[in-house]
Amino acid sequence: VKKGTLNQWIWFIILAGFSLYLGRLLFTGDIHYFIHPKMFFFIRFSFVIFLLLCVNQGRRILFSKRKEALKAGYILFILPLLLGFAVAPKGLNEAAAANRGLQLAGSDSSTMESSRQLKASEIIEQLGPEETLEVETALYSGIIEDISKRRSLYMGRRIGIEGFVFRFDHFSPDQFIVARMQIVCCAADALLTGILVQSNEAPSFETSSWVRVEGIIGEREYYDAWNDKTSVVPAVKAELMHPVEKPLNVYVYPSE
Amino acid sequence: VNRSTATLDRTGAKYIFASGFFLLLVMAILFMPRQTVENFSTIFISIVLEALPFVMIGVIISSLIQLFVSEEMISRIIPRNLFAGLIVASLMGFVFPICECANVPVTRRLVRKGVPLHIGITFMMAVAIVNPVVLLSTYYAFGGNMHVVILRTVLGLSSALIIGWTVSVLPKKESYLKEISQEHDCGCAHDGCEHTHSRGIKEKCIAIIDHTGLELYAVGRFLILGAFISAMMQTFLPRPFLMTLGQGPVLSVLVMMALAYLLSLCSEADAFIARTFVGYFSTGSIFAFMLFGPLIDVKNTLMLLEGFKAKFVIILIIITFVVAFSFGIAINFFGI
Repeated sequence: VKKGTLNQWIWFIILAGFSLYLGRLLFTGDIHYFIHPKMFFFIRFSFVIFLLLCVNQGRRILFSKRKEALKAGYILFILPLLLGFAVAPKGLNEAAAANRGLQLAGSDSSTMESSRQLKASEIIEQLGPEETLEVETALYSGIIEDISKRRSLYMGRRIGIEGFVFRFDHFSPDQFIVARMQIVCCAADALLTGILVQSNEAPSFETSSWVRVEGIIGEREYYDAWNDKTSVVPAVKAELMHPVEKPLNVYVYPSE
Repeated sequence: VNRSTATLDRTGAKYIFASGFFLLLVMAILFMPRQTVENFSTIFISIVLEALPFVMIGVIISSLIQLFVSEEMISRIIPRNLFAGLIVASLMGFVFPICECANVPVTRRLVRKGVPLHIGITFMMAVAIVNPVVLLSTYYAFGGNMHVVILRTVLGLSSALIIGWTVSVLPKKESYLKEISQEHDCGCAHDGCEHTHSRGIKEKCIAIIDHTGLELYAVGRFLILGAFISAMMQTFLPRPFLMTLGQGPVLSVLVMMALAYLLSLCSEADAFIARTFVGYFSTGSIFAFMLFGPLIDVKNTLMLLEGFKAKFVIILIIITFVVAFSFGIAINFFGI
């Protein structure tokens, strides 16, 4: 095999690999582990282009006469395919949490969010005073954001929320954050979003384990080691806590 | 003879480096904790998947232009007046949306065909930011926040104009162009330059697809390398350390600019990366990242050095650095 043609073959295999990988992600729905659903259209688009390029590359192999050195850059294209097929990641796990940013209810960490009217904000307005505010996955980010924005509306209300246990090293034993991973576009921009929980039973729940917390929203002092500031943030005084299964889709999405 | 040995040595080193890298990676996958490998892979693949469609759109449009628009056509419409020329060149991105990887070879050819240097440089700088594809991906990356899109447009245009004007006042005693090298003229590494004027629609379609594939290779590898480095940083750089760098209004801008330069991201994808630093780094530094990266980075520098003298490239990097740094600082201190 001439080196020029070998290059053509390698590029053909890479294009076929990408077509296959994207096709598999789209077909099985595993694409959810990487990308926000609103971007799926673009993934389908690149799938079609890869198929087209792959077919065209088959044609090019037949007509290749050029002599050229083997291209080292191909190794870079093989990397994502190798990791995609061999590791077959199932999304970010809780071990990644320590290296992500955090949007805690009541702390003003996200300065670039647009000031939109949230769908989730209507929930609290329609809820009777004795009813429990159930934080469903679809409304998770929206409710956390609304708690930050209009804290007083939520004070003293009963809340039910699920997520995984997240702690900083300096946390006192009776507190943790019940958190979810929020993605805006893809897993690379994942942020932790959640609310502080206070309970004497907190130590019996391991970090990274999934938990359901029910309790009353109050306030508590919170020390942020990243900017060395202490502020008063909303916190759930837990009355009922029990372990739950990790959900299939670990991510939550910012509300529209 | 000398020349070919040098080329041989270079490619040899490339293979050794590439296979060493690959071996290291396989070892890492086998011996790192499963959770870490999984998180790294998720981040790496998601950046690649996310950015690829936008790179493809850029590459396809770029292929169309490379095949259907001649440099003569472009240079014919450039006005003779200095400021009119600068402004027209800076707005070219809207009609001429080639990505920042393709604009270096185009600029080089434009300048060689007699387009004034400052016009070429303004064009190159503006096209990388002020172009519909980049702005669309910025819009998506920042969850539909128009403020970011508008600010990036305005700052991108201003930067291109300031840099272009500065280039126009540089002494013109010597040519900043390199002697025409014997090597392949297209830095984009495509071997399809010859099939430009084929007549049939079928031939044209094939030419576009050919060109798209070749350019996808040329651009895609820098994207994947960037995604890899970025994923490494996200997985292994301890957050508290990064946070301390992101706090200072001046230091954060410097750090983000260094990142932008080293990551060498395609301007069609960099907004997605920039988004991941929101909340940890100052607003000014995020914008400095999205300004400096498209204007100049490692891969652009290399491509520029192929066509222009090193002295000019260094001057250009310094000018670009000062402009992007000033805007970043301005945002942090005056809160635009």
